[in-house]
Amino acid sequence: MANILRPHNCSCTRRELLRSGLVGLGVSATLPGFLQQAGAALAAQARSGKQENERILIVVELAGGIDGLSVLVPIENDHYYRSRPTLAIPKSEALRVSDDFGFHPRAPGFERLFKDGKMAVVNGCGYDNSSLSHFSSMEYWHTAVPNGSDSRGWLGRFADDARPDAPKQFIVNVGTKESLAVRSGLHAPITFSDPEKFQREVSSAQRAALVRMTEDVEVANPTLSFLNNIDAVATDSSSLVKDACAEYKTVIDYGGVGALQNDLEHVAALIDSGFPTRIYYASMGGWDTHANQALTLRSYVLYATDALRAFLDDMERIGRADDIAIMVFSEFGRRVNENASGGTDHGTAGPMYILGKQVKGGWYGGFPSLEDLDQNGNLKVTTDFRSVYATMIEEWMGFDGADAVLKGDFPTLGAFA
Amino acid sequence: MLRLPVFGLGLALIAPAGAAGPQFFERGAGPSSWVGDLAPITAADWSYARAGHLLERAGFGGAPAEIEHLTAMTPAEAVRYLVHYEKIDASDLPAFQETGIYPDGVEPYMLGVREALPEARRSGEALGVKVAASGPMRLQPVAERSYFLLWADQLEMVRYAHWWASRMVVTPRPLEERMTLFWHDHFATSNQKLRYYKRMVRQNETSRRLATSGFRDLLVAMSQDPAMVWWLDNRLNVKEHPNENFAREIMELFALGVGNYTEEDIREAARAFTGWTSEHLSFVDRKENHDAAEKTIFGHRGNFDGYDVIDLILGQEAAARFIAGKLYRYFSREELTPELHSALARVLRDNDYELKPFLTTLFLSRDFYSPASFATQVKSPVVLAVSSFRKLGLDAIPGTPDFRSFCQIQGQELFFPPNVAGWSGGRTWINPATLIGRANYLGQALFPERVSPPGGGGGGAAMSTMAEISSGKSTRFNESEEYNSPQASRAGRRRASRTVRLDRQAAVFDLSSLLRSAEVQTGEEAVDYLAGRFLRVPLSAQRRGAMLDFVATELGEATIDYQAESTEETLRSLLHLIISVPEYQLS
Repeated sequence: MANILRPHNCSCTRRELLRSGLVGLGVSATLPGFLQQAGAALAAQARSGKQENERILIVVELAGGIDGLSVLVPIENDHYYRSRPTLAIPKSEALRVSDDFGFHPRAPGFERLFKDGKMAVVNGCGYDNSSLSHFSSMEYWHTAVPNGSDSRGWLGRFADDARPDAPKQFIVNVGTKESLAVRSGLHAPITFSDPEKFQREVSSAQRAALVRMTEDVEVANPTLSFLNNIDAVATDSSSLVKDACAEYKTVIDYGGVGALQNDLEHVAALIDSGFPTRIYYASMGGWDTHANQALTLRSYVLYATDALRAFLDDMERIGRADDIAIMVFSEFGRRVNENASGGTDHGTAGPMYILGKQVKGGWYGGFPSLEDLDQNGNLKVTTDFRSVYATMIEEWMGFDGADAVLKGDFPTLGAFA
Repeated sequence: MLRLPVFGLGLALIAPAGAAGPQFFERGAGPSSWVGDLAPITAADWSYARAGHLLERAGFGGAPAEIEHLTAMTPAEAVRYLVHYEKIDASDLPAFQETGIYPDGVEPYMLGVREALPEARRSGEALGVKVAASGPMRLQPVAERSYFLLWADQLEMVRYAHWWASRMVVTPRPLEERMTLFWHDHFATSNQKLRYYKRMVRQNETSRRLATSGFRDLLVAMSQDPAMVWWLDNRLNVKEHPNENFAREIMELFALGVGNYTEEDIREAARAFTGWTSEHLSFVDRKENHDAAEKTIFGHRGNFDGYDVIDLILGQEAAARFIAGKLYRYFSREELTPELHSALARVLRDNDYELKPFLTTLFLSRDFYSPASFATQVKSPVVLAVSSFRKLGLDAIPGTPDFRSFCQIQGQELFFPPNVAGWSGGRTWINPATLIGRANYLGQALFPERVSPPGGGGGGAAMSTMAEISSGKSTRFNESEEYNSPQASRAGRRRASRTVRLDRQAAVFDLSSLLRSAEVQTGEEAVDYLAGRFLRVPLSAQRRGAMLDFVATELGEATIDYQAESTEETLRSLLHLIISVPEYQLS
């Protein structure tokens, strides 16, 4: 399929073709569906006179409940050191970024982003009546409906409201599992982990038969309608993703081992190849540090913060740093007092981070008191996380229907210039 | 090898109804008036398609002979046959053959390098390895042995998962394995944390033994299960330092569900479970660690212990609703009206949480065969693989392609669930990449010669933690000159993959013989027979048309020439197309 995108008589790359809206190819009924889709969408975009590069939202989930007090250390807070006799990060080791705060010693990536003014730290994020269950709390963050439920995620609803007619590649979820956050009524997110495996292994005769068998139609059986739709998205997108990732070469070091590095590099590849995707979602687990927290965080904090820093460097390298912003969240923070197993138990509020060149770097949200805790010994929430969501939807993506998406009116932070 | 696909009983093959196989799709889903109706279907309602639906859900589907066996019974007999499976002899099923990686007397808590090295320093011996009193790299043999055991344990876990899935393929008691799989998902425990496969094996055996017993028995057994005790930290739950992990999950995920307890209930229940721990592979109740003082749980006061908590939980109205609803969603469908939910909970309570009467009601109900339930589920990755090979007539999961990689990529690696909530299941299994991956895996099983041999070790969930440990990046065990950690890890890993041998045998089967014995003579009959054998719903006209054209082009003529060399490949290509259509994901 790659040769369709790179005709023999044309030396242009797929990136150029995608960016040019494929107009020059003469989109016709003989082309596969994905080219028609992408071509039509991009042509419409070109006609409407919008900028070629629209803003892109990247959401990174840190699953398991990251200990905010270890990432962003309140180095002048005696209560912190009293509550964490073995786990507190010593003031001398923290990477100081203000009078009162320093990052974890293995987070030099965050230190640099903050000092460069590319990072907004939003303190005390959470919601009222916090759930201490991973599964409930993550669901609340995914749906943006705390202590309630919704079949669609907040990003899915945003996509439905903002771009009901968007191309098939509008949402990309890099990972093995589609997140509830991107589950949508009108879009089928492209979810993949390994681009090499995102490709049908068939003969050309079988491929031709399978293309004929692709029927994105509604039938009486709702499960089959769902499967028909996913099948069509798969047929339309797999070659595009594989080729984009295979061709992508970067000199930026995304850091050590781990899934987030690979996932973010795939995001960079798709952005670079001109995908019409506006929402990317990636996740990194392993933050549920009930025991041996110090050891776990030494690796995980490094992997995560290095990968994020590298991704932003890479965007700068390919000239797309002005087009992207990253929002980082976790389903909850952890308890203030350390436990008897060298770890911390499930907590409530924690910091969120917004990263990007267009971000107004600095502090947002109030830092919760370490003395005035709730009945479980957890931090009190100072900032509703949906304010951060609203900020991303309205201030960053420029869509003024955040209140409908989020089912409530949440003040934005003023985190973008 | 083709196995005669019967249920282990002497069984006369029923003459096929048509020229090529039974009436696969006749009288499939019942009328929509059956939705929500728990009244049993009758013999007059019975059909091949409905028996196939039953076997698909209560087991893993099967070859036509298995379904015809059930079709020949009444629905009540067929359900009894599946639910009261103890009457079926399963003694011929192969037992798991352990590699034997653990030296005698090794205590599992000593297995990690962090535990073994201090022990070796202190006593001069650990993990069955003696070390010199001094000298450079004197601890290296212990470090190597420790890494060997870590790697070998994960590989042995992979072997056991393969054995289990193969048992699902070949068992004459499909519901036994299906329910064992359900409990593995429900009491989701991962060897990612345990790193001791013997505990996982033991939990698997317990789940199988109690698969369709009573829910109380299961809750007690799992609360005392050594794997669970480690997984949810109840071994750390002692009077002086209560650990809430297990108490929280038994309420939230195992028995009640969110909203049916308070944080106070969890704290008090945790105190009641103090002292329940394990020693090696056995439950131990350490009275000296038990908090015997009074607790208040759900408003009841008493000096409760773990048994009392379980009884208090089961006394809650929410408990029967919780587990009845979960079983219904697992076997029938996602949507559950409050009325039906209450009726199902009543069945469970009226039977003292005994599972066989409940499952019998469920599998016989009109609702189970209604259009809302019939062929509306998405197969899980494991069920997809097992049912495919069962329908093909194999007697095991093939060694090539790699079953573990398939499960990892699809997100359902046995003994490595993502977290204590188990697998999300349903539609969340399906996205564009997993849909493609499913067809590719089965295609590789049909054409194993196209699979490149696996590289050493492989990646994914089971190995990722140790990959981190063994990567040069990690220097945390390397600060002493007594040993070299990366080197020990590499050596241990090499020895582990030499010691624990994974089965790499491709499946041997003959599709031509299968079709010939079903009296399939033309390309069209081949399309219809294979679609009938492998799908739960008929192909759309467009898809059937594309397959007819494909097979006509490939065969060159209408009648199949079974002598021709290319016929087997053509039939396999056709089957690959059939398992690639969206319909194939339906159960």
